Amino acid sequence: MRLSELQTGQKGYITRVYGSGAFRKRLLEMGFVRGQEVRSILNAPLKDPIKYEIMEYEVSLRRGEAVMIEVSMLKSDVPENDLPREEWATRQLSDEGKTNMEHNGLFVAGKSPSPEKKIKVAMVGNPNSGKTSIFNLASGAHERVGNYSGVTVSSKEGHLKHDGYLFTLVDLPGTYSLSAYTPEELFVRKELVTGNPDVIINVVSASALERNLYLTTELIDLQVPMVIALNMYDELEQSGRTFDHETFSDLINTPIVPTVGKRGEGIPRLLEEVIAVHEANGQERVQIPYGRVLEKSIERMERELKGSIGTTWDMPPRYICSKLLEGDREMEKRVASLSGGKQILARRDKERAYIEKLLREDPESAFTNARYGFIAGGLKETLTEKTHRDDNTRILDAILTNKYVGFPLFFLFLWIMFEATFQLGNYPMEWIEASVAYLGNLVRGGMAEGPLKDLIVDGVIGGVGGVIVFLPNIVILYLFISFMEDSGYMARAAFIMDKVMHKIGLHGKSFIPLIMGFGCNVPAIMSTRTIESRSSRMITMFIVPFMSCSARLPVYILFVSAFVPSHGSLVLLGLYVLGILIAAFTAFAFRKTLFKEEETPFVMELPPYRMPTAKSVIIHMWDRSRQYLQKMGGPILVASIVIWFLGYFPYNGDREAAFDREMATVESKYDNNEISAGEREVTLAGITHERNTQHQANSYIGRLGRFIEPVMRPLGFDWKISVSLLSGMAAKEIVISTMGVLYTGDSEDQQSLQERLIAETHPDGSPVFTPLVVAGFLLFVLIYFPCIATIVAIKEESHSWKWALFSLFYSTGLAWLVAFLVYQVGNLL
Amino acid sequence: MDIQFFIVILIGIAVGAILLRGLYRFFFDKKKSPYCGSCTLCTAPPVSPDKKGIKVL
Repeated sequence: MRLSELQTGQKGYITRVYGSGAFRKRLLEMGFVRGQEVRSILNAPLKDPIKYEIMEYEVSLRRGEAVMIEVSMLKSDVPENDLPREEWATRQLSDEGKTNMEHNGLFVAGKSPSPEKKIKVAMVGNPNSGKTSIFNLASGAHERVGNYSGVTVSSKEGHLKHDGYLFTLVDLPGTYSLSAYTPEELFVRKELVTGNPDVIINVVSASALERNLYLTTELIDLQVPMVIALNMYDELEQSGRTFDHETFSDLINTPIVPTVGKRGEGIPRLLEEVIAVHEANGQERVQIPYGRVLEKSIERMERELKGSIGTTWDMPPRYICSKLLEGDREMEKRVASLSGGKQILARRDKERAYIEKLLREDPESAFTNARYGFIAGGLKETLTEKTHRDDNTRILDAILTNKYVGFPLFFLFLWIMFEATFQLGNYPMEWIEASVAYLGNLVRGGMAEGPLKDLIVDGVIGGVGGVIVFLPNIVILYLFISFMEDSGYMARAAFIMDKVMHKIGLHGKSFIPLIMGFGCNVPAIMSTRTIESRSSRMITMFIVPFMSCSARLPVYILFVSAFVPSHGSLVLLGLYVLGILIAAFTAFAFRKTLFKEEETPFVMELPPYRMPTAKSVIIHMWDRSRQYLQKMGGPILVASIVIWFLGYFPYNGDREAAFDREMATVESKYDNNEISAGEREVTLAGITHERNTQHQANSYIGRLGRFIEPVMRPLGFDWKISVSLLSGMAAKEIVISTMGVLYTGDSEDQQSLQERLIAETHPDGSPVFTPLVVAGFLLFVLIYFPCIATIVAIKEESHSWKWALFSLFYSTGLAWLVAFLVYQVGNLL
Repeated sequence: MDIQFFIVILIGIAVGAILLRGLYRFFFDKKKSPYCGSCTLCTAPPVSPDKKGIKVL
C-alpha cells in the first residue's frame, strides 16, 4: 500500500520510495528509508497535505507525494539485503565492529594552528537546528532566527575572542545533506571545501537526533575537522531520555558538546573543544562502513580515480567515489572534465549496475540506508527510549490545524494582531504626536520668521515627526510576528495554506518568503533562492512585493486613523488580505502564461511548538525599533529636507511682495476701523493660504507634481498625492514624510498630519481626500512596488534587469488600474 | 545675507552632498550587500564579512 492510504493514527513501515531526482533524494535524506516506521498524524483543514511522524520529528507531505512511498503495515514485509539495519547496530557496537572501525579509521590532517591564534569556524547543521541562535550568542550578532526552516539563506560572519583565540564564525544555511540537488546544499558544500574553515561546528538538534546525524555521516566522509554541538539538549532531557554522548563521541571519534543555544549553555565548552581540535592539528576519524557490496564498488572506483585526480582535489577520494556512485551531478561534471573522466564515469556506471543487481535497490537508496544504518547502530545502545512524551505539540496541532477551526483561528490571530497594532498602538501614538506638536509649537513661538524656521518646522518636524509617531505600531506588529515565528505557528500557517498555494501553482516553500515579506520584502526575495524550481522561484519573487511590508504600515495607519478610525483594524486586515489575494491572482495568471513549468513537490518539516523566550522577542523588537529610528535620522530626514527645498525654491520676490502688500492693506483697513477683528483674521488666513498654495504650486516640486498630475488625475489624485507616491519609490515611509512637508496646514498651530489631511481642500473648497480617493490611494500604496531596493533584489536574484523592470511596471501598472477602477466606477455609482 | 538663509543654504549643500554620495555608492561603489545601498536598515545580510564588534566570551 501507499503512504497516502494510511488512515490518521495508523503506522506503517517503508518498503520502497519511488520517484526520482531531488524530491526522492530529499525524502531519503529526511529518513524515508527502507524499514523506517512512519505514522500518519493528521490532515490539514483542506485534507491536504498530511502530517506524518518519522524518526521522532514531524513532516508535511502532500497526498500526491505520499503516493510515491510504499509502506507495509507489517515490519516483516520489509525486504532486507546486504546487511539489515538491526545487524548494523549489533555489529557496530560489538568488539569486532569496534575493531573494524578502528581498523578502518584514518587520520584527518588539520591545518597547522596559526601563530596569530586565529580560527575560522564554519557552522553547519540541519535547518532549524539552532545554528543561528548559537552564532548570535557566541558572536553577539543579532541575525534573524525563527522556529521554521530556511531562515538563513546565505552565510554570515561574526567574530569573538575566547581563550586568547580570535574566532571567525561563519553561519551557513541549514541543510539536510551535502548532495548537490538544492542551491543551499551546494552552497554549504562549496563553503566547506573551498571556504577553508579550520574547524567545523556541526550543530545537531538533540530533539531529532537520528535525522540530524545523517549530515554528520556525510561530514565524516568529507573528513573535515569537526566538533558536534548537541543543541537543544534540554528538550532531550525533558523527554526523560538519556544519551550517552561520550560513548557515541568515542564511536565516531568526534567531540560532542551538549548545548542549549537559546540560553547560551555549553557554548564556552564548545569553543574550547574547537580550540583543542585545532591545536591537535588533525583528528583520528572513523569511516562509515557501507557494507560489502558498496565498499567493493568504492574500492574499485578509488583505484580508477587515483591516477586522474592527483593531489589537486580538495576532497578525499572515498567521498568523491561515494558521491559519484550516488549520482551526484556536480561531482560528475568535475570528473568529466578530467583527462580520464570518461573512463571513470564508465566504471561508475558499471558499479552502479553492479550495486543495483546485488542489492536490488538503486545506489542512492543503498548509501542512504547504509548511513542511517550506521546512525541507528550508534544510537541503539547510547540513546534510551522516551519516558515522558510531550503532547503539547500534538494537542496544539489538533486545535490549530483542525479542519473546522484551523482557518478561523488563523484569521482570528491575524485580526488580533491588527487590532492590537492599531488600537493598542493608538495610545503611545497620541503621546508621540503630542510631543511632536509641542516641539513644533516651541520652535514656531521661539524662532524669528525666516527660511530656517520653515525648514525646521515644515521640513524636519513636519516630515520626520509625521513618520516617527508610528513607531509603537511597528513595534507591536513585530511583537506578534516574532511570537508567531519563534513559536512554530508560522510553519503551521504554511501547512494549512499549502493546498491553497497548490491551487495557484505554488508549493508550501513559497509561503516562507511570503511570510517574511510582511517584515521586509528585500530579505523575503533573497529567501526565494531556496526554492529549487526556477519557475516557482520567479513567481514567488514577483508576488512577494504584494505582501504589505512594515514600511507600508505607517501609511495605512495614517489614512485609516484619519478617515476610517472606527473600523481601523478591519481595514488593515482587509488590506493585508487583499495583498495576499492579488499575489494569488498574479501567481495563478503567471503560472498559466509566463511560467508553465510543473511545480516541484515539497517536503516541509514541522518543528515542535516552543515558547519564545522574552529575550529573543525583546531583542527582535529592539532591533526593529532601532532600524526604524535609524531610518528617521537617515533617509527620511534627508528626503524630508530635499522635499522641503524643492517645495521652498525658487523664491519669487515679486509674488511674495504682492502678498505682503495685500496683507499690509488688510492691516491698515483694520487700523482705520474699516473691518472688524474677525474679518481681519479671516482675510489674513485666506491670503496666507493662497500664498502657500501659490508658493508650492510654483516651486520645483509643484512643477514636477503638475507634470505627472495628468497621469494621476484619473485616479482622483492631486499633484501633492502624486509627488508623495513618487517619492515613496525610495521607501514607503517617505510617502508620509513628503505629505508631512507638503500639507503644511495651519501656520500658527502645529497640527497632526491626520488633521492636516482631513482639512486639505481643493481651490473650490471641496475636500481632497474623499472616500474614493482614500481607497484608491491605499490600494495604490498596497500594490505598487515597495521600494527601489526590492527591485534591485529581484534583479540580483533573477540575474536579469528585464525581470526587475517587468516587476516594477507590472506592479505600478496594476496599482494604477485598480485605483482608476475604484475612483471611476465609484463615481458612477 | 540673512543668517537663517545662510544656514539653510549650508544645510542644503550638506544634504545635497549626502544625497550624491548615496547615489554614487548605490551605482558605483562596492557594497556589502549587492541588493541595495547597504544601509543596514533592513535584515538583508551583507555578503562580505560583517564588521561587528568582537565579543569576548
